[in-house]
Amino acid sequence: MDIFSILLNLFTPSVFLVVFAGVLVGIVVGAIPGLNGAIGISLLLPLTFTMEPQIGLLLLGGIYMGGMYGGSITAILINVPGDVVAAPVAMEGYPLTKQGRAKEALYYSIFSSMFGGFIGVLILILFTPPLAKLALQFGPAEMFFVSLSGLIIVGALSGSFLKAAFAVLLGLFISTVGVDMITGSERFTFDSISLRSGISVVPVVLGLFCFAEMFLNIGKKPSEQVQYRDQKISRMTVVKDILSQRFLVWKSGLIGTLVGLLPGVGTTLAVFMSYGDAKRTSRRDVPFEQGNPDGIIAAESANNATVGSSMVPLLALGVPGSPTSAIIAGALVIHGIVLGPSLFVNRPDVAFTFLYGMLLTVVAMTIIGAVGIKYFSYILKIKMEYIVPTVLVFALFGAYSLRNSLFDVFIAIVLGIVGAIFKKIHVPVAPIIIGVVLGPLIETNLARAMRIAGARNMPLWEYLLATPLSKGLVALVVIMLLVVIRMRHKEKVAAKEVKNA
Amino acid sequence: MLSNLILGVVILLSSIFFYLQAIDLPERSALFPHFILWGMAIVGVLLIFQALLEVRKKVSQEGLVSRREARAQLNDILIFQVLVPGGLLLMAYGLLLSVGFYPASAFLVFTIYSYHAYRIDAANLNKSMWFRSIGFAIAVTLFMYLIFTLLLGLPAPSGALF
Repeated sequence: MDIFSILLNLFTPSVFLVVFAGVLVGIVVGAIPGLNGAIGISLLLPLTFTMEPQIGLLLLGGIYMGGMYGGSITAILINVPGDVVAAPVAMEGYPLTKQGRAKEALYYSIFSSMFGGFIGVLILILFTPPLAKLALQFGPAEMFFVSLSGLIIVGALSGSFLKAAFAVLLGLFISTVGVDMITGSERFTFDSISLRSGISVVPVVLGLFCFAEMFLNIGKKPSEQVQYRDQKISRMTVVKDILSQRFLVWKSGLIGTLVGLLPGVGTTLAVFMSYGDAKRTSRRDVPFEQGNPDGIIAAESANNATVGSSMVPLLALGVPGSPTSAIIAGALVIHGIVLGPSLFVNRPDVAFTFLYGMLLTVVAMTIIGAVGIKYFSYILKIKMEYIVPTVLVFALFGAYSLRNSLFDVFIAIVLGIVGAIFKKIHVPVAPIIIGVVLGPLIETNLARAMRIAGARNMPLWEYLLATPLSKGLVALVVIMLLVVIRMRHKEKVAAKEVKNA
Repeated sequence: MLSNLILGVVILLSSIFFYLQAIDLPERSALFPHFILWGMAIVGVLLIFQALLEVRKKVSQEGLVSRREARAQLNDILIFQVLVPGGLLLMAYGLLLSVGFYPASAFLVFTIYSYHAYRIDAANLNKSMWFRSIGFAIAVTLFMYLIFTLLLGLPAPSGALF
C-alpha cells in the first residue's frame, strides 16, 4: 500500500473528527482519578462497531494517547494523579504549581508527551517486525532483571534511604496478598474472600496519592493553599528548553518504547525508570521532588512513547502488550480482523492507516493540550472547600469502578489514612506503588526461572545468566546501582558541607 | 525521632507477625514473601537503631522546645487532618454499603465541606454555610449521577435507597 493511498484514507473530515473526539475523551477520563484510557476505550468500544475498522481503531488509539496525557493535568495542578503513571509527574509538577508555575509545568507535560508520542509512533511505523522479534527474546531471566532494575530508582529518591526501602518492601509485600498464581495457595488472606483476588494497584494509588493529599488539604486556610498565580511563559520557551534536553527526551522515549514492547510489563515501569534515570543524570540546579522540569520531561516522554510500542506485539504477533491494547485487540477481532503477521498482507488498509493515523492522535493531543492549558489552570482558582469533597467522591467511585468491588473502596480509604500518616512522618509513598507494580513481575519471572532451571538440572544463577541479553541486563543493573550509590554519596557530602558552613 | 522509633517497632513487629503467617505456606509460595519480610525486619531494626542514636545526641534547650512544638503539631495533624476525615470516609463507606453510592456521596460531600469550613474557623458554621454545603452536596451528587449512570452507564454500588 503506497503512502499516497494511506494519506488519502487519513485526510478525511470523519477521521479528523474521530481522532479529536477520541483524544478529548481520553484526556477527560485520564484526568479523573481512578479512571484511565482503558476504561474510556471500554466505554466507547460499542461505538466502533458501526464504523470502518480503521476509523474505529483510530478512535480507540486517540483515547489511549489522550488518556496517557490526561492523568498529568490533575497531578500537576492538585497533586492528584489521574492514573498510576502520572505519579512521577505529580512529584515534580505540583511543586512547580506551588511556585506559581502551573502553566509552565503543563506546557512541559504536553510538549514532552508530544515528543514521546512521536518517538513511540515513529518506531511503531518503522520497526514493527524487528521489534516484535526482540520482544520475543525476553524470557523469564531477562524479564526478572528488567523488573529488578525498576526497583533501583527507589535509591535515587531523596530523603531517608531506610524509609524509601521500607516503602518499596511494603509495596512488594502488598503485591503478595491473595492467591499465589504459581501454586494456587492463599497468602495473607485471613480467610477473606475479598482478599483472595489480591490488592489492585488502582485503590493503592487512589489511597496513597488522592485521599492522603485531600486529607492534608482539609482545614487549610486560603492563605495556606496554593494560590493561582499565572506566571507568564510562552510555549516556545518551554519547547526550546525541551529541545535543549533532546538527549533526555530520546533516552526516555526509547526507554518507554523498549519497556512498552514487553508484554505485561506496562507503562508504569517505563515511567519510573525514565524518571529515576533523569534524576541520576539531570544537570539542572533544581533538586528533584522540588519542581525539576527534567522529571516531567522524562516521565511524560516515556509515558506516551509506550502507546506506540505496546501496539507493536499486538499488530505484528497478535500479542497485546498492555491491558489497553488487549481491549483494542478485542475490537479488531469483533471486526473480523486477524492479528499477527498476516494483518499487513490481508488488511494493509487497516494496518497502515492505523499506524500513520497514530501520528494524527499525537497532533490532536498536542493541539487540545496546548490550547486547553489556559482552561485546565482554572482548577487552581476553585476554592479548596469545593475541590476536596468533589475529588474524594470521584476517587471513591474510581476505586469501585475498576473491578466493581466495594472492597477496593475500603482498601483505598484505609491506605488514604496510612498515606497521610506516612506523608507526615516523611515516608515516601511513590516507592510503595513501584513495589506493588513490580512485585508480581519479579515473583512470577523468578518462579518461572526457577522452574526452568530445575527442569534443565542447572543452578538458578546459571540459567539467569545463560543468554548474552540477560548478561547485558545484569551489567546494566550493576551500573545503575553504582550510579545511585555515587549519587547518594555526593548528596550526603553536599549536605554535610552545607551543615558545616 | 519518636515517630521513627515507633515506625521501626511497628515494622519489626508486623514483619514478624506476617512471617509467622507465611510459615505454613508451600515453600514456593513462601519464598518471595519471606525475602520481603526479612528485608522489612532489617529495615525496622535499623530504623530503631537510628532513632536511638538520635535520642543519645545532646540537644540544646531550643532544640528541645522546637522538637516539642513539632510533635504537638504532628499530633494535631494526625487527629484533625487524618483520623477525623478518615473516620468520615469510613462512615460514608458504611452508608455506601447500606443505602447506596449516591446518598453516601451526598453525605460525604456535605460533611467534608462543613468540616473544612469548621477547621478554618468555627464561626463559619452559620446558616448560610449549612445551606451552601447542602446545595453543593446535592449538585455534586446529581452531576455524578448524570455523568456516571445516565451518560456513561457505569454501575455504581447500590443499596437500600438507591
